[in-house]
Amino acid sequence: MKKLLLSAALCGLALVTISAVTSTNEPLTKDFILGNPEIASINQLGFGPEGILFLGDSKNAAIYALDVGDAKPLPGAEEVRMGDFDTKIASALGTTVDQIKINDMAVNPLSKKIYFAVTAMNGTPVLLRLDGERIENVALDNLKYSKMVLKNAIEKDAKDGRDRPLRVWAISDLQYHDGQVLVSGLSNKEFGSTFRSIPFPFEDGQDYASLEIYHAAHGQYETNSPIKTFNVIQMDGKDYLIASYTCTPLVLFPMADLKAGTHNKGRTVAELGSGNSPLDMISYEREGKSYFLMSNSNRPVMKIAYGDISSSKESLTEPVAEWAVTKGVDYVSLPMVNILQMDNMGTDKVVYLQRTSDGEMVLMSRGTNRM
Amino acid sequence: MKLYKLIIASEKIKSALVFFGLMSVLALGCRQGVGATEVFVDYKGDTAVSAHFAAQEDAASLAVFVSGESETPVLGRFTAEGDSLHFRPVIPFTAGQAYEVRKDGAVLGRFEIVHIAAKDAPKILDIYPGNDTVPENLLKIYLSFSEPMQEVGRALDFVKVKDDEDTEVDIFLDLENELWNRGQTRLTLWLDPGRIKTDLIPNRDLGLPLRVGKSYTITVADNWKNASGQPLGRSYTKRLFVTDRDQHSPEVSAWALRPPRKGSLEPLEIDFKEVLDAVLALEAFRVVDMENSTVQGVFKLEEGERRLFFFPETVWAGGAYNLEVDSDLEDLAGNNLDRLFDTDLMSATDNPRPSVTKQRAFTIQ
Repeated sequence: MKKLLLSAALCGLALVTISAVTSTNEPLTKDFILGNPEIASINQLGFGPEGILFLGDSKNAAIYALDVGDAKPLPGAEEVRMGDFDTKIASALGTTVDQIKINDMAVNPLSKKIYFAVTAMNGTPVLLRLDGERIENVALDNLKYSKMVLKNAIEKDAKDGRDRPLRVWAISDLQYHDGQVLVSGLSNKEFGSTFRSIPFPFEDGQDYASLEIYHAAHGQYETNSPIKTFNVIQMDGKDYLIASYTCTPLVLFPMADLKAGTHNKGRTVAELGSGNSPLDMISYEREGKSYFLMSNSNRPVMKIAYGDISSSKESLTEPVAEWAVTKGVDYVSLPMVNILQMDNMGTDKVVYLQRTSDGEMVLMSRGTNRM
Repeated sequence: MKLYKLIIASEKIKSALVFFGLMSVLALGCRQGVGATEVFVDYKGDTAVSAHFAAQEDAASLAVFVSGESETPVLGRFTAEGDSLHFRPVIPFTAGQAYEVRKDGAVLGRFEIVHIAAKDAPKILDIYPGNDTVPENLLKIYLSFSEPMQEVGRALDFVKVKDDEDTEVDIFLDLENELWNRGQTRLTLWLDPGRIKTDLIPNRDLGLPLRVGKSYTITVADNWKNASGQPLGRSYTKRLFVTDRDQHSPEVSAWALRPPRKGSLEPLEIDFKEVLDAVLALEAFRVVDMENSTVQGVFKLEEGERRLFFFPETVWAGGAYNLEVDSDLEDLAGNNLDRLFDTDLMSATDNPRPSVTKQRAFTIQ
């Protein structure tokens, strides 16, 4: 999902970098081709520089970089408040809410427009965006794009020419960071971690790291388990990957240490307890301090200060016996429940899709000063 | 009164003329002084892909709406073809749904999408593991369907599990992006790995999803629909009887191989002596000859994924062969050929780099 903006500071830095890049170098879209990328599904969305939209297509086991023609910067974003949002999307698609599914949401950090990945009953993937409150279709059959097919985590010895059946990687999260597209995926066959770091712009035949990322339970039992959602955060001048696993631990890895072909073992900074699945992670800055927010299937949105993670020097070593209690770093529960999608909108707002207690789906923004 | 008239417009595209009776046209159309425009719906197979009507108007003044909706028009493209305007929505029109073509808010014409006569209901072909006896650390099940299933909603709304005391239990991991194959005909459901993995909080507090000695019934609801909206029409059940934990990786050297006779088309038989993953086991193997060329043929699983048979396309030549196995082949507990699902670091040997394949030699005489 979303969350290009790692922090307000990084965002500002990115904008400066972008203007520098576009004024002195060729645009990142220069090798994009015009045509129909034949996108089969849209599982994850995330913006990169120059308004490039990265799209994770699990059915094609591919990441697409799309030029959606939306690179005009808008300094600030308007408040967003739309009720019956799923009904509006359904009406725009000529159908009813039971016939559609909203898979993901991402905000273009330049234009502040909100993009939605929607799937129809029969699987037709649709990319929509909001212009004010008007819903627009982003046609996927004729646009400038670049594509990278996800390789199998363990490549076969190719000498016999026997192709292994295409693995479907349910792309669980996607993020552009510092020239790399980071992708976490879940296989529909093997149980295992598939975390990839793909240099961008994509090039034919390029190699990229497929990382094995382990986490341990209290230092003893470890699993090469899939990552559900992740974010890149900067602490003490270093980049860290903070990953939330399908089996609940929140694990920290120094980005510099993540190398292909090595046994990457992270530090568990919290366990999120039973019966909960993390959905999205975003970061923001407030009064000079950096935080990240995590939305959850069964919990309110959690707010964690970067400082609390970096000061938590030790890995979790002692098990906790209390059910559904998080352990590790401190966090604050925000009064935001049933958040289905969440992303930064500029440096001062977060936009989210929420199912309210009376069942209505609302699209709302909220100032980070109220978080 | 509704009148449906089917016209074959081309070999592939059928057009259905659909208009409401005079009364409804009067009621809805006359207030704005607009006549009833006949709208034809174009079907491709059983899918309503577009609609067209005779019109002189500029498409910019026209919009299609779901009947009763006034604010949000249907997204799509108008194209002019001769005297007709064609409207192609972003996703196909929905069966049973009524629509209106409007000009500046006034209804020009209405149409409704017919239900094409349903084919046979979709079916569940298999639920894996095929056997009903499973280890307490069972990691996943597969549901195999006869046709592509709906891509909306949530699979776990259609899959319920009860224990032998008739109490509903949550055993599966709820995933935002469900694990379907590309054709949307096979779903992978993981039993909650946080509960299977030793010493994680969910494991310590809730225990394993399945308890040894107990039995469970998985029921798949009859209202699960295929991609065109047709439900299964009947429910399906599967019993699971839970036995001891499986904490051993599959051992290639422990398998019993029964080589076929030279010059025959007999299958090579591999007895795993345990049940392996039904999907991976059909993809993980290859037979190579002395020149390291792949022997062409077909693999079939039997006995509830306990035995694998390889049927060659041509008769066996005598000599030495190798059976190659992908190391990521798993048993029912997610233990692969290299490592256990749950590695105890206190006793494990350091084996961070997985192998790609393992070999087992056999000779045909």
